[in-house]
Amino acid sequence: MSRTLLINPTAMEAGLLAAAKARALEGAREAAFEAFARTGLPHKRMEGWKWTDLRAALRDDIAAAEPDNDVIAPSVFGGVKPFEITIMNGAAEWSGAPQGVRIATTRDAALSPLVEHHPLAGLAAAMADEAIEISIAEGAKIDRPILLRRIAGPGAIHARARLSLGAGAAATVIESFDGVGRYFSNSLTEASLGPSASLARFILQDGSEEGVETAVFAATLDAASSFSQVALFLGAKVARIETHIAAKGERAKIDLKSASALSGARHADQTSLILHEAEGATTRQAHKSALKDRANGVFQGKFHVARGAQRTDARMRANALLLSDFAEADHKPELEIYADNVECAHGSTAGALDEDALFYMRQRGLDEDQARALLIEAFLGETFSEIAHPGVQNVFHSRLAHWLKGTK
Amino acid sequence: MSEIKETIAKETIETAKALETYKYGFTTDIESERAPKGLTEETIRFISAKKEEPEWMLEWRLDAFRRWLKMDEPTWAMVHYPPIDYQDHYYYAAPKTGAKYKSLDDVPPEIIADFERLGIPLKEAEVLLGVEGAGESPGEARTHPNVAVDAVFDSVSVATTFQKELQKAGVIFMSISEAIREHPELVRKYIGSVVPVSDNFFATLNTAVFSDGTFVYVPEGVRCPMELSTYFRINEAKTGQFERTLIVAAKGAYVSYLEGCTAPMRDENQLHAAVVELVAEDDAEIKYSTVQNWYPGDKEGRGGIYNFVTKRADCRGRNSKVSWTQVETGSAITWKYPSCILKGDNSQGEFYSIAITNNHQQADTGTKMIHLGRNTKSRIIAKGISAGKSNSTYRGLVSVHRNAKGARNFTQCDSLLIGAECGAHTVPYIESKNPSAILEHEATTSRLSEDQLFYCQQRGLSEEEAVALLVNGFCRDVLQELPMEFAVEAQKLVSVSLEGSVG
Repeated sequence: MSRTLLINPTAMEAGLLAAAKARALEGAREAAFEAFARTGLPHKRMEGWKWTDLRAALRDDIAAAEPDNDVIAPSVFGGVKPFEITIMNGAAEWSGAPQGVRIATTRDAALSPLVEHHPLAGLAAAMADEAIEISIAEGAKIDRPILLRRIAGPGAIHARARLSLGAGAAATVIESFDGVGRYFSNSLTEASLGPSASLARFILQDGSEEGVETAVFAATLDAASSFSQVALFLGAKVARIETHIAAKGERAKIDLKSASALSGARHADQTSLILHEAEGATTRQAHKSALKDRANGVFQGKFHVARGAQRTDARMRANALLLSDFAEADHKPELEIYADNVECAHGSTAGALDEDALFYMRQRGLDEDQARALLIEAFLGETFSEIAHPGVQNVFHSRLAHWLKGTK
Repeated sequence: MSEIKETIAKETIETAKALETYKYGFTTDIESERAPKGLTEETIRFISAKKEEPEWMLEWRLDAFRRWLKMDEPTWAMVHYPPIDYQDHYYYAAPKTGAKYKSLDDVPPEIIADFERLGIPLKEAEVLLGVEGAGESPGEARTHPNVAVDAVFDSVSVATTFQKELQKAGVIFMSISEAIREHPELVRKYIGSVVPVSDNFFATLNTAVFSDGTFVYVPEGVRCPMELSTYFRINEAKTGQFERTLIVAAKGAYVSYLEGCTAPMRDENQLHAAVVELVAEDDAEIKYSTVQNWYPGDKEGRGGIYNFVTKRADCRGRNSKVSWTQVETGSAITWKYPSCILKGDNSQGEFYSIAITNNHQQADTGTKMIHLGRNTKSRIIAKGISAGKSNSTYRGLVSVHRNAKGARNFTQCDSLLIGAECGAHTVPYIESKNPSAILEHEATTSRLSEDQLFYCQQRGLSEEEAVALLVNGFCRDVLQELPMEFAVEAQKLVSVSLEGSVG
C-alpha cells in the first residue's frame, strides 16, 4: 500500500484508507486509489466542489455494505419491460442477455486518465470487486431498453461498469439510483461508442434523505455517433451525478437534458464536461431545477472546445426556479474554447414563479396550489417532452407528478 | 474635443506603429533611490521610514507581511507563468530628487520629457509638479480641461495637479503617503476596511509593501468638479510596483476617477500588485475607469508586466452606486476582478470590461457582485477579444444572499476569437439564495463574421482597418461607458492592440 497523503482524515476517509489497506491493493487498483488518497473526499475548497462538500456530508464512517438478499420491489420502469440488471450494493445480477448483447463481469481494474485523476472514479476503480461489462455487437439495434437498477442499502458501496457499442449499434440504457437508509454509494461507468453508434441514456435518481450518491459516467464518442441523456434528479442528502463526454470523432451529436426536483434538505449536483476534440460536433444541453424548502440545486456544465475542433456548435442553458425563501440555486456554466470557427453560447437564469402567470391562472379558476403545480410541471416537464420511448416518458412524467403532489 | 487632444490621439497611432505596437516602451534615465533587493521586515521598515509613517501604519504593514509569509499564491486562475522569486525584486524605488520641487528647474528634465511622451497634460508642468508660486491660474495651462492628475512614478507620487481648486470644493486628492501624514484619522478609518489585510496573497503583499497611490475623499453632498486621474508608471528594472488607492465618497457625493498605466519594454517580467478600495456612503456614486496598458511583452512572449490587482468597492450606503469600467490591453498576465459588495439597500454595481489579448498575453479577469441588501442591482457587460496565441478568461461571481430581497442581476459576456491559436473562456459562478431575486446570464463565443469583413474590405478598408472597425463595434457597449477623455484613446488602443493579428 502506498503512502497516505491525507492530513487529518475524517472518520469516513480513515475508514476508506483502512479498507484499502486491509485489501492490500496492488497494481492498477493501487494507482487508482492514489487518485483518491491525494485529495481525500472532495471538499468545498476544491475547484468544482465549491457547492457540493462531500467531505462535510460524509464526516462519520460508513462501514462497507453487506450483501442483501431481501426481495426487491418491482422497478418503476417495469411497465416498459426492460432487460433488467440489478446492482444491489455493488453486486450485479441478471439472467441471460438479449440478442446482440454480451454481459460479463471482470476483476480487471483497467486504468484510464479519469481513473488516475478523479478522486471518485479512482475510488470506485480501486474498491469495486468487479466491473460489469455490457457489449453491444456491431450493427446491433437493441430495441428493448437495458435497465441498470442500482439499489443502495445501508453502507458504503463501490461499483464499476463498462458499456461498449460497436460501429452502427444502437441501444437504450436506463439507470435508476435508489437507496434506503444511510449509505455512500459511489459508481463509475465508462462507455465507448463506435462510429455511427447511438446511445440513449435515461437516469432516474431518487436517494434517501441520509444517503450520499455519487456517480461518474464517462463516454467517448467516435465519428458520427450520437449520445442523448435525459435525467430526473430527486436528490439525496447529497447526490452528485457527473457526465463526461469526449467527442473524439467528427460530427458527433450530444444532447443532454436534466431536471432537478428537490424538496426538504435535499441536494443534487449535475456536473458535466463535454470535450469537443474533433470537428463538427453539435451539443445541446438544458438543465432545469425547481427547489422547495431548504433544497440546494447545483448545475455545473462545461464545454471544452479543443484546438482544431472547428465548426463546433454548442449551446447550454440552465434555469432555476426558487420556490422557497430557504432554497439555493448555484450555477456554473463554463466555456473553454481554443478554436475560432465555432458557435458556443450559454444562458443561465434564476428566479421565482412568474406572478403574472399565477394571476392569470387564478383568474381562470385554479386555486393557488393548482396554479403553482401547473407552472412547475410545465417548467420541468419540458425536459421529458422529446423522449421517443413513450413508456419511459410516462415514467418520468408520473414520477414528476408524484413529486409535485408533495409526497417528496 | 480639443485640437490638442486630437493631435495626441493621432500621435498615439503613429508612435504606436513606429514602436511596433507599444509606444510606452522607453525608459527614463534618472537616478533613483531604491530599497535593498528582496523582501524582509527590514524592507518594510525602510519603506515605512522613508514615508515618515506613524507607528500604526508600520504595525499594520508588518502584520500583513507576517500573514503573507504563511499564504500560498493562488493557482485557480487560467494563467500560467514560471514561479515568481519574490526576493529578486526591488520593493521601493523613488526618483532621487524627491517629489517636491522649488522651481521647474529642479525637476529632472527626463521626468518632464517622460510625462510629455505619456500624453499627460504636463505642458502645465509648473502646476502639475506643484512648483511654488504656480497653480494660481491653472486654467491657462490646461490641455485636458477638467481633469486633475496624480502621477505615480515607480514607488512614489511625483505630482498632483489642481490641488487648490479641489480644496475649494472640499475634495481631498493627494498621494496616499501625504494623506497618511495629513489626514491620518480619515485614512485609518477607511484603509483596509474594504480589502482586509489577509484578503488574498497579492493584496496582503501589497498591504505590506505598498509605497504610494492615491487618496480621494469627497465630502458630503459634493459633486467633484472635475475628473480625477492617476497615471502609474513603472520605470526601474526589476522593480515591483505596489500602489494603493483609496476613494471615499461621503453621503450624496459623486466622483469620477480615471486610471492609466504604462511601463518600459524589458525582457524580464515585472510585478505589479495593486489594491484599490472604494467606499460609497448613502446616495454616493463613484465611477472608476481604467485604461490598463502595461507593457504586454514582445511577440514571443518575453517580458511584460504581471498584473495582480485586487479592486473592490463597498457600496455600504443606501442608494449608493459604483461603476467599474476597464479597458485591459496590456500586461503579460492580468489577474483582476473589480468587485462590488452591495450592502446598502437599493445600491447598484456595474462592471463594463473590454479585455484584449494578443501574442502570448493571458488575461483572467471579471468581477464579483455580492448582493447583501434589498433591491440591489448589478449589471455586467464583459467583452473579451483574443488574438495571436493569447488566452482570455472571464471569471465572475454573482451571489445573492438570503436577505437580498428583490435583487437583480444581468450579465452578458461575449468573446471574440481572432485566429485559430488563441483561446477564450468563460467561468461564471452564479449563486441565488433568495427566490425574489432575478438573475440572468448569457455568454457567447464566436469569431469575426467573414461577411462583415468582406463587406468592409469591398468598401475600401484594409483588412486591419476592417478588423478594427468590427472589434470597435463589438466593444461599443463598454466604450460608451468611458468618460470622453478616455473613450477616444481607448478606441484607438483597441485597434493598436490587435495590430499584426490578421493576415
